[in-house]
Amino acid sequence: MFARTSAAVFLPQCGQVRSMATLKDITLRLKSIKNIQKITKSMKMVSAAKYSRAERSLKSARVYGTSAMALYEKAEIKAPEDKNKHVIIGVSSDRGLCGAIHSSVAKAIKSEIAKLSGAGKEVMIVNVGDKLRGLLYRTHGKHILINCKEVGRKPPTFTDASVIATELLDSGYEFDQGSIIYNRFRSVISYKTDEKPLFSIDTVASSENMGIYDDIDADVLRNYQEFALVNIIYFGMKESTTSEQSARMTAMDGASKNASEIIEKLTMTFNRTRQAVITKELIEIISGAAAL
Amino acid sequence: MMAARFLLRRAVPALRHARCYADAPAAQMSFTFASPTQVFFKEANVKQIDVPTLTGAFGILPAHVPTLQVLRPGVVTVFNDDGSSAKYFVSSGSVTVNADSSVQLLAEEAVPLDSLDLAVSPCYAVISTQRIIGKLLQAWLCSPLFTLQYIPDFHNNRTQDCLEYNRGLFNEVKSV
Repeated sequence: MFARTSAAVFLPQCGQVRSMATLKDITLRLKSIKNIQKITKSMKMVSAAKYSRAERSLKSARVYGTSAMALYEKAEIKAPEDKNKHVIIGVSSDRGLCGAIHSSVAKAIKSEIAKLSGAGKEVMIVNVGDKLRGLLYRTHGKHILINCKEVGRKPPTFTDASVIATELLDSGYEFDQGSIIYNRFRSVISYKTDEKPLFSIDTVASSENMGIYDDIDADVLRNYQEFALVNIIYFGMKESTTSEQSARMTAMDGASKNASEIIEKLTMTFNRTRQAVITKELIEIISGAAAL
Repeated sequence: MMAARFLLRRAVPALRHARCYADAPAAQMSFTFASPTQVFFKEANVKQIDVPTLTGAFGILPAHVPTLQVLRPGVVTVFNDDGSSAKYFVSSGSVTVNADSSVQLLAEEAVPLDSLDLAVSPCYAVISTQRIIGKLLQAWLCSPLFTLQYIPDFHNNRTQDCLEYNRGLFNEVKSV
């Protein structure tokens, strides 16, 4: 839309068209771009407000999420290479106009699938967010296990994460390991697509370092694992929303700036055209008077 | 002893790290206690933590043996280095004690006991005497400030059954 305004005034060669029509053209375009600028400005304000709220809650969610993964890091749990069933949870949202948020997650998922399928493993995807579904269903539709909608409208809660985890566990797909791909929030202007590993109960149970952990029932381990899964999903969702809001803020800011540039150029063109029309009328009047 | 208590299928039982006097217990415990919305302790140094778990309540001191446990509704008591203690009511969650004496206590919902309003919840007095879990549920169920919809039983995923179980416990306790 913004690319179309090359701002060249076009006078058709059939002659009798008055420049007034062109002036009206420019006026209309100017009005519509001014409206767009108002909208993008207000979207930026809204995103800024949502972003500050998300960032505040991210502080505690980060402590929570990193502690949840502490076990896996400290016990250095690694999935054995020969396991075949993978699951990838891609965390994004439903709404666009946020820069490269959705496409970067989709790109990471696609390359993961290519890598794993090349190695002969079975992969299934869980889409958190409608945009991801849109990006993936055409080429990787048969890998999609679960789609989640209505993500991103409200800040994610622990309950949402537990609903997703429950669906995944109830889906009947017995995965051995997996990863969650989300956008990690680095700062207001930058985020990075990151990947965190997920392990199944069997993988954790049979990991060599688990021996040092005392007195663990199979039941307790299962509950613990399921809770850890919810924690990781919650952490991914929290980081993702913060990155999304900051990206939307940046994108809308850029759009408003572009719109003001175009408005400036169009205003110049408008004034020039207006002056040209006046000059032309003057010339007509004068040459008419001179002919008398 | 550990091999016998280990109910998982394992090919080779792992050797427990042998302790000698030279390895005096590290007086440092890095304690992190958080809920999804709030952080209570972050890598803090505390003396002892009492946690209620599915397999029973136990206290964690520095250099506790590494373990993983799942919490049940109850009171977590944190004893600071200066002797003061702080009590929190937790709904569920997990506790991890790692080999390097770091403890991560992740609660799904946690509320400091002080914030449960005395006027609103007349059973508060019961909580402070640390009676059994049923009494806590009684207080918690009659406190409108603190509404918990369900106690997630992740293992069975049958939240309705859990609620029944808890109400049963509540009724049983009420009759005591």
